[in-house]
Amino acid sequence: MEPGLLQWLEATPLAASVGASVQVIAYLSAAHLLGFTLIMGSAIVANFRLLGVFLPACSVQEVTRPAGWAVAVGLVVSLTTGFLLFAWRATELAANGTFQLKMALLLSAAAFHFTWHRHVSRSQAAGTRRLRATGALGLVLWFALALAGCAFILLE
Amino acid sequence: MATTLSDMLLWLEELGLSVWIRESAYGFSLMVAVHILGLTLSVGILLWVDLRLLGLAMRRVPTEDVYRSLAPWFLAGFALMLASGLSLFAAFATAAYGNFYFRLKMAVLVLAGVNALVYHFMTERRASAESSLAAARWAGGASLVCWLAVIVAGRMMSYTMF
Repeated sequence: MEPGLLQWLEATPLAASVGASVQVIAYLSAAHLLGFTLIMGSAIVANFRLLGVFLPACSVQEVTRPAGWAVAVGLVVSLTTGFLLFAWRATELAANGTFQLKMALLLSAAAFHFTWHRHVSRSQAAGTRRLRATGALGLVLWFALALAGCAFILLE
Repeated sequence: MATTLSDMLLWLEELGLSVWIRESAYGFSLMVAVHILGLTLSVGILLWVDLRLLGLAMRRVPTEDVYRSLAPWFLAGFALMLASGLSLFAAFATAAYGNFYFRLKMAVLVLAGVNALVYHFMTERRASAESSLAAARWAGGASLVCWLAVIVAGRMMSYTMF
């Protein structure tokens, strides 16, 4: 990313005030984890339905529709708090390999969820094999993101 | 000779597992990762039972079916949380015991447990549909609030303990 833009971001009053207070960082990080729990729980439940592990007798959409909403709400919470946690040390984090991996996996998992996963969940014609493959790939992507998130907290 | 609480905390810190968590290159990271992955399975999945109890999702499916279908998974998640949580506590027993957020977290965990037991042994078995529906909503709401507080307190611990 443009180094000038990252430095500008770090210098904004909002970013500086986050960086100046451990307490604010702790609260933001708690909210970030709440959003993450909502995303992961909802993604697990939706993908478990596609896999046939959760409520196999019930309609796919009965589960995937509310779960899709919850993933979206969780993403709003985690992205907002995540951006604030990123802003005050943007230059350093943008160069961090684990952080880059985390962002790439976030993008992949979210893109997969709101395009292919959504399409398959809504399609009346999707066969069991297609549903299962989608559920399995969804779980792999979201858990890869979770692992990258753990690595990011711990390796720095 | 009487064993004091602080002796017990020190004894926990000297266990082989505790020393490994504190001193090896990946012990601490591994335990925290298991704790966070356990969180996604336990609270992340349980929250869908709570949303069903509240009548906010999957209303066409009986609560009982949602619970039975998800129980093995969130119970496995709680087992991971408990194992990694106890190990992390042992490794930093003295500091954790004295930490305000740790005590808050434990107190709310007890409330969450009592809420779950009351629902399981009383509300769920009550015959009257009308009163048990309201009680089920309370149980779902209380569970959500408790787990939210547990997560926030847990995250605050790591900023105030080390």
